[in-house]
Amino acid sequence: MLSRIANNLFWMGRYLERAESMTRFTKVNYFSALDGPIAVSRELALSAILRMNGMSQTELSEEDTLLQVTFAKGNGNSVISGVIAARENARSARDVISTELWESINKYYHFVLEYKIEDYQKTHLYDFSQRATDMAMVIKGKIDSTLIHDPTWDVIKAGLFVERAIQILRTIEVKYEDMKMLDAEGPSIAVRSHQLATLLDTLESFDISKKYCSRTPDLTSALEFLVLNPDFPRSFLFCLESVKFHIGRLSLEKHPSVESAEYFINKNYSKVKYTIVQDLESDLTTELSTLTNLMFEIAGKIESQYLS
Amino acid sequence: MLENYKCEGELFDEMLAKTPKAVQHYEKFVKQFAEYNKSDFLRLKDEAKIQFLNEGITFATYNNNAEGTERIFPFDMIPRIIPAKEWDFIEKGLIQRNLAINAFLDDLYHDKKILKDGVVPLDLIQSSKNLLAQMQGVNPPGGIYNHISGTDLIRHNDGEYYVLEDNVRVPSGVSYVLANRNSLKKTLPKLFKQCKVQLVQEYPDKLLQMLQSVAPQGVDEPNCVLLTPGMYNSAYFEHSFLAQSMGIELVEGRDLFVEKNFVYMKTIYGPKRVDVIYRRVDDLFIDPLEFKEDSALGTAGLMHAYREGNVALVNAPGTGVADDKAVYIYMPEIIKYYLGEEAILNNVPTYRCEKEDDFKYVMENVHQLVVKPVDESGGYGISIGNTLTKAEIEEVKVTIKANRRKYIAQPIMSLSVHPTYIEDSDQFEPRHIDLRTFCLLGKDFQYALPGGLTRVALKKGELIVNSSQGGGSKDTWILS
Repeated sequence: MLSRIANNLFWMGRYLERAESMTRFTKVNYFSALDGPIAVSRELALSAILRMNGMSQTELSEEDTLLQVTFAKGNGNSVISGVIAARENARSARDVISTELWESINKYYHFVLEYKIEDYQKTHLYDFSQRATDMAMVIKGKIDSTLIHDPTWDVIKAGLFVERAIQILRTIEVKYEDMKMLDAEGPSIAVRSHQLATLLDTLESFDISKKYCSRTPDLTSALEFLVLNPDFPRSFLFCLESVKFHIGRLSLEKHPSVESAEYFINKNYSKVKYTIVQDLESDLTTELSTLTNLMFEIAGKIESQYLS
Repeated sequence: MLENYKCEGELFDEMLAKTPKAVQHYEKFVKQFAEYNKSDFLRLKDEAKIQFLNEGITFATYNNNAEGTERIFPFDMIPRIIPAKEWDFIEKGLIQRNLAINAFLDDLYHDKKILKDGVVPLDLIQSSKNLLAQMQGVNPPGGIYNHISGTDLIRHNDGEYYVLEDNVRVPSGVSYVLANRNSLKKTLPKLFKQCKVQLVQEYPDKLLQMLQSVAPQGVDEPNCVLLTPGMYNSAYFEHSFLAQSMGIELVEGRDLFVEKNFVYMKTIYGPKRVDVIYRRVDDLFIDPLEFKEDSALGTAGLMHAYREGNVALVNAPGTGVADDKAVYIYMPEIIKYYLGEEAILNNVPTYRCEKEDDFKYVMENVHQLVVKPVDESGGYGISIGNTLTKAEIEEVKVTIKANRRKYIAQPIMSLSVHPTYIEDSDQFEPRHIDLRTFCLLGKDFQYALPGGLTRVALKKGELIVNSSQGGGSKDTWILS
């Protein structure tokens, strides 16, 4: 496979995951503020949506917030920018991906591009988000079921999991900030559990985590589940292991050299695997940012070894 | 729905052929088509449109926005039908013509016998801007120059086919032939039941076979690639479609590099040698060391590797000298000179403005001639005499006078018409059509795609069918 194409596919995976993550975050947080405890204001939800989108300094009206994070082409982190970039990357590689995969991405693109922004802002946020998320799921299904599981597939999957790992950390970070802000106004069990529920719901793990923990999770068990669970597809460790798996398949070296991406990923994977939740909790903000930087470094290693 | 279709005047209608009812080879189709009602037809038409959009079968015009403006190449669902016998004749003519062009190119870049014998004027060739000094004495792998030729045919109101022009540089459009067929099969499957239509889907296999046949000597399993200017090129859909259907790599100039006169592509596991390049990049952009210095689309050193015989370029550089519209005039002589045969396909009578007699005639008759620049494509720069005002005619004369070598003139050929669905009137109306054919030449290999791309001018009375000028296309059926 051409390095340029591999690079485009890696980024296709990343943009797909990024757009999906932003769609879900906006939907869950917007709706959770509608019937939450009084302390959880709509302003806080909108601010969380903006922070998730990297616009922490901005104060915008509800309509403008929704427009910015979802449909603003000028905002590189908006859903539409992600979808456009994913589709452009797919288009540049459409001769190596399956027709089925290309068509599902193209359909997603036309859906987002043609959606009436006003409808979204006023009445159809749920409809848009649900359909967009479903389409993203179809795309992932096509990635797994219509591509040969060869380097093309590995590169796309590595991109997907790198981005998902980053988005998980970012979501926890933003929601943790919310919890701290709300705590400052007077700790409340109801508020805390509402915020935890929102966090878990954003990562599609509310029901499943309850089942796993056999009760409604507290912060410790939520973190353990979202960061360190080896079996849940939306946990950080699971994503890291998946990156390790796909880069391992890509590598031709029997014994990866110390400079290789594979070595770097394996070494750090082991470190995270033997991390315990108390290590995280002791200074969560710093730990989250260390893990985020680790993912950036991994992406850099993959890019310099395979994608340029 | 076609029962009330009429074509009036002197036009040659493919379906009616100057009779009141559909001619024999359209009969079965018309009968089958009657089973659909108008609302079905319109719904299916819209479905086909959405299908084209979802599949991304579009061409794009780019401004500054990343997603560009994507347009579907308008597709008319009424197929054009050609009986097998008629096609056999055309096919022979195409292969004959393109073999002669190949021999002509080989001669021009080697001994120039045809010029020495005075069959084609020396000055005509020497003044062609498409003659490449870099190709002098070069022996392309397999001895082929015009591997892929897109010969444009029209049918005049005498019912005869004529070659309108030869395209032997980088002819495009074949992907639409395959896409149109796919779309028509999906939307109107019943139509195919009665009519036995020849396959077009084998084109990618034939193309790959041809590419492999011209691999450099000693290469048993050639690595063939398709070189595209990139995804912002208007024909990018075709490039990626062809690469995908042949299962070969779609590369850009920046993916390739030349080392010790061999061409390599940059892969995730390091360099891999490239043997055959089906390039969809124009001559002047393929190698910044030999042509346009600032070209970012090509690869430095490519021409040198080619001259060394280490890589095949498809089509060969410098073929444009043969599809010059002033050279076109000599095609019957060229065929005779190299093959010792009479030309099977007719040429449209053509006046070379450079010649004194012809020039005089053209100047007096601009109002009833089509004037064309010899070296443009895409329907640009053409003036059609009977549509011009007096002032415009004078302008055309001034333009010709300023550069006589650049212009030829032909009588206004009455392109045949075909029933076509017109949205504005919600009816089937006659519209002018032509036929872009696709012919492949390789080492010991010849193939003409059955049918080709029937292009249709959607505006009433319009004779220019090119997509860049608002034309559409039809599926073309060769009956078996």
